[in-house]
Amino acid sequence: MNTSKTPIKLTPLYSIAQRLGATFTEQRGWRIPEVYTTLKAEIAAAQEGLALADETPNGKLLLEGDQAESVLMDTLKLGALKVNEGHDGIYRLRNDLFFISTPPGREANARKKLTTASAAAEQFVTVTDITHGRAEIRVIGPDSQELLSKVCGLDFHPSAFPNETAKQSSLAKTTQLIIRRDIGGVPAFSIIGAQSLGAYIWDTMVEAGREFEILPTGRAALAALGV
Amino acid sequence: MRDGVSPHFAIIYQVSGAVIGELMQTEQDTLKTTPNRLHPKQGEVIDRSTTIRFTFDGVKYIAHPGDTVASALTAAGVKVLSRSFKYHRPRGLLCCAGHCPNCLVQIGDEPNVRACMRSVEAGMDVRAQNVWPSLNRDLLSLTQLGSRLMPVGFYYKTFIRPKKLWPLYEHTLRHAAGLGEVDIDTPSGKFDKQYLHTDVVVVGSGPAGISAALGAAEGGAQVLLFDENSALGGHLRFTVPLHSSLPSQVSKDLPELLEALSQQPNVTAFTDTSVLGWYQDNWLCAAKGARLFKIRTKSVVVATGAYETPLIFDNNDLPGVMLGSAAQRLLHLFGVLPGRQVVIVTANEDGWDVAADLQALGVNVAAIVDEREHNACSSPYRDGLANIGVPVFYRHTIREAIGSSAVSGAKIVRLDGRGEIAPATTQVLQCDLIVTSMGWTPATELLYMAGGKSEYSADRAETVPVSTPPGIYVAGRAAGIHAVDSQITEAWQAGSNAATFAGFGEFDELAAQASDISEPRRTSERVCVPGKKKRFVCYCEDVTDEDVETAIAEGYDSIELLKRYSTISMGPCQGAMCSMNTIHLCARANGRTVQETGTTTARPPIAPVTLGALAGQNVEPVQTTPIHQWHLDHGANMMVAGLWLRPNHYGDPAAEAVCVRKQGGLIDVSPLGKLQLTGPGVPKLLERIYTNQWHNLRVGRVRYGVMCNDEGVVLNDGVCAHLKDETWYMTTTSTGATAVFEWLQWWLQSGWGEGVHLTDLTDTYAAFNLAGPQSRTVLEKLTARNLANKAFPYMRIRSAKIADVPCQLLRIGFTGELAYEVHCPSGYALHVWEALMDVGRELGIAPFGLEAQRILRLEKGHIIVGQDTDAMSDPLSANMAWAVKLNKPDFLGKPSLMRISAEGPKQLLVGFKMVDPDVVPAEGLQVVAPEVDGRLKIIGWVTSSRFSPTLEEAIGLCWLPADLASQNGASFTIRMGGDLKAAHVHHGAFYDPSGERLRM
Repeated sequence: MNTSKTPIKLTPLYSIAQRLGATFTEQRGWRIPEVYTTLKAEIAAAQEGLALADETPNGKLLLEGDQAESVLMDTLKLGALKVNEGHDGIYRLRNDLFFISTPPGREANARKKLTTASAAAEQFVTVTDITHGRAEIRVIGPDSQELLSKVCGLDFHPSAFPNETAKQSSLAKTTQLIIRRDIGGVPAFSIIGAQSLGAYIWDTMVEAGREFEILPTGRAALAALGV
Repeated sequence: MRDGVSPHFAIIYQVSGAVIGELMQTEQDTLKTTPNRLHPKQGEVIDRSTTIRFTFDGVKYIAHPGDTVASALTAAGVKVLSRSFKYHRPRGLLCCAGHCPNCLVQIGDEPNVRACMRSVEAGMDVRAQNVWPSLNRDLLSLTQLGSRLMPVGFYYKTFIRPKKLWPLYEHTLRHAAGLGEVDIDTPSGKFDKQYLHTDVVVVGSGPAGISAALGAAEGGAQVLLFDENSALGGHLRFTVPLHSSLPSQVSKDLPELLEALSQQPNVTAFTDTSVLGWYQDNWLCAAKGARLFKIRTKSVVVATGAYETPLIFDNNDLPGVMLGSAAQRLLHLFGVLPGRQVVIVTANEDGWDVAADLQALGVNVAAIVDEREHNACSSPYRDGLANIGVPVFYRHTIREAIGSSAVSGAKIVRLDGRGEIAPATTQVLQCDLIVTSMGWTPATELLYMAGGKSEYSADRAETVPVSTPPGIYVAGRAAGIHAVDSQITEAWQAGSNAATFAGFGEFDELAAQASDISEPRRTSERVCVPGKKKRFVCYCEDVTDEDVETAIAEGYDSIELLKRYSTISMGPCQGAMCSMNTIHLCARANGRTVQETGTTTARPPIAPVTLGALAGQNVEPVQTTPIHQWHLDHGANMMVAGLWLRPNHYGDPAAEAVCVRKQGGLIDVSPLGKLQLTGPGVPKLLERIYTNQWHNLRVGRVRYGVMCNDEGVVLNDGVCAHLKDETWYMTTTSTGATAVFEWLQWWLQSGWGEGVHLTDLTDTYAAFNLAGPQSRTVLEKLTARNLANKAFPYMRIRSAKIADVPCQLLRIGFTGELAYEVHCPSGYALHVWEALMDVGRELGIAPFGLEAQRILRLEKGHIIVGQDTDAMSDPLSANMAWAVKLNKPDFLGKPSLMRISAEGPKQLLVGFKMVDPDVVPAEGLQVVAPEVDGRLKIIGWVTSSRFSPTLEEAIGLCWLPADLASQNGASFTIRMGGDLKAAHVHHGAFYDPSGERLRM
């Protein structure tokens, strides 16, 4: 066996970031953009205008089964969630389906924990790691609601789409999971969908966000914002 | 200020043609002056601090920012802006509000632009449309001479005989028809859409609209306020409200209304935005330039105002005949005089307001022609204007506009006691402008779309809403309320009610009740003055009152039939200018009342909208594999497959195919559908979904399967692997992945989901097929897994680390060679692919694309579902009977397949070779056979064909009659253009029929 290179994980937006001249860093085995332009500009865009970030490395699990809720409640001491509601990265998509978002690299442990709990409880629950299968793009900033209203028919007003809720919808003619995850009071939405559509969604957002002077934002700015 | 004139006349404006400081001295000889531009005044929307230039039919003009094309041209004295649709008569500004077709022009490559609504931009190239050779000398106007040949509905009657002349007629008519030109080479431009959600939508921002918005917002509702004009205020922008006594909730005049609005955070206003239609559940559609809004609201306030109704009289379309509101817009908004000597024709106080404005601006009011008696006129300007010598003709009306290309005079007539024209009372008045103010038609299209009803009030000669559906409210002139103070009061309550309906506050039944408002009559029932020349009812389609009478006489006597036959209200104005007049004419001709005659159906769009805005962004989703950039970097020729972009080849597909046969190749098959099925119920589900058996597939094994629908038609195919006890891994065709996932979901949710969980992993794993005799050697260099044939035989699945990445290996292939399909997590795709290429390159491995794969699979005789099969193909006929187990318990399609099996397939899919090995028939060509009479009959068709670089001859798959197809070597004929080419049936795979190379 001869492998000379260490495996590195790339997001579907890697080539776009390269073209934009981003500098890269590594995050739990993923190569991700650190800064596209300047840290200051990217932070300002996120806080005052509109920013776009590639968060594909975030862990993503699906937990399916009629008993999924009880497994979650037993394992994580989670309170009851209604459909579309979320708490601490766990979002109920259907009565029998939960989406679990973890920080990068934590998905394996989470999966193991939930699988073990399901087996112990003798419950028919399937835990699937779909981290590699979904692109995750976060739009951040005061203009993010306006931007999304150009590509998606959902009502993004906080009264209709509160923080920590998740909805599956058509977005730019594709199916996406949209999670509201504000950052320090700044509106922010994660758009999670097929990785093969990631570049298309990114380009669509950039085009739709041109009127808001949307700016790609790297890991450094996200870290500065507390993400 | 002049004696006897009300304070309204205090502001005296001067015509300033000679003092235009706008003109650049160096270009005086080329730029047109603006003799009709007034001195600055309060309330105008133009910015006089700067000028911009544009051209109209090649002539240079100047304008100020804020000018519309029409206002700038009128300032320059241009009266003729367009030619009419049918007779090519000159047309000038009529409504100045975007409601009529008279100022449609071409701007750049954009046809049918309303010049009165489009702001001038620097460098604009404005041209008249539908003219030949020019606007002022349009030879097509000679069609008027043949107008007897073109009566209403002429296209059903004339230009039919003699038949042989039809090509000439058609050529001529096509040349003459249509408005504007579209340059198909012009870039389509950028269009987009936006979804809006709110509690209350208010359509129209006149005093009623603003007040309704305030009423709703003060109730706590989020409000979207739309107006098609460039600023809020409606008619208050160009008229002065009379007798205002405002309620405490709202301010007293427009600036104060706007100030109140600006202080209201719950209201978002959209100007230059036309609401196009109302759809079920308060779904509204609106357009602003290149953007389409889709609006979801809980309640709607229709405050769309009213259209000023034109009067029908001889030559009523002559440039210089203008509605009163149009004249006021020009004066107040743009500081432009519409004429120098005016005859006002009116039946209400609004006409007197216009007369007062014009008089105050120095225009010679040649006469006020009021069809009412002197004592019926209650205008505050009545005595003042008379006192300063303005001639007033009571009980008179206009009979004819005089002039050839513009108004030069007016013939007026006296009315007798019955309101008819008194004989021998015609007088001629010199004028260059005829302003008509005869009344109003409420703009209730949205109300009608929403299910609201109106009734005609004979007392007021207007329709008045009598019922509205829940959540729909009407305010202002649309509700028949003309007095501004009443508009504001009632609209505020309508807005408040709308907010309550939307869930804000308690419903106050007492407050919600509409007040009993007494409105004086403002609209005349006289819509047409008889005469001897053309009198236009419909400006869009050049339909006259005589045309209407003819149509009714021919039997089209219901208003809906009349509309369709005459095309009235089907042009750009969509009835705004003509609908009410037509109803009156129809009622009179039929001897019925207006109420009995009814109205036509209102449909979206009620305002012009570009196809681009409706179409939206010109983007379609594109799926790319995780190594898309690698393909581009290595010269791949990409092709679209479903939504996917995939490498078709890297330069030489035949060489790629040969390389696979001789050494090996690597293809990116990431688009393959990949589904995970878990649970104890999976085997049962697979037995139902696939046509073959699955309960006996052991862990670690892979099996090919075909899916059918319940009619036995092939839906999809692929392999399914048994990973571990209750975990299965299914692959589907690349373009069918989503359909199969939805198909399975449908069955899972329809009773077959017990003990099954389904997850789409198509994007989670990238997949590469390493095929060819060297593939094992390559893979062995990258994994510790024992790949020997015995340890890992054909149709098996194994977990293995490839280049340190955990993968699934499937020993399958579409090419007929020893092959491994490597499924790895997508994030690692480039690493794994490059590792395979790095190692494989030394062994002669090269990437190959879809074209090479298609050649290779055809050499093996493998079908492609969707190419070799269609919506009628069953697996028994498609040469896949081996994959159908009719003896197993029920599965999708079994009853149909049982019947086909019993009766025997009528057509079969078989391989063929050409007698001439170099002739490759195109896919889709017909297989033919001679009939008794010698004619050729279609008996089949080619579905796949290629020149095989391995066999060095043309091969293919085709559908043939079963008796012919079942004879190996049987001859048949393929029609290629005018030639017939011989082919013969080939049973089995063309290459490696025993399948040894797969299992080596």
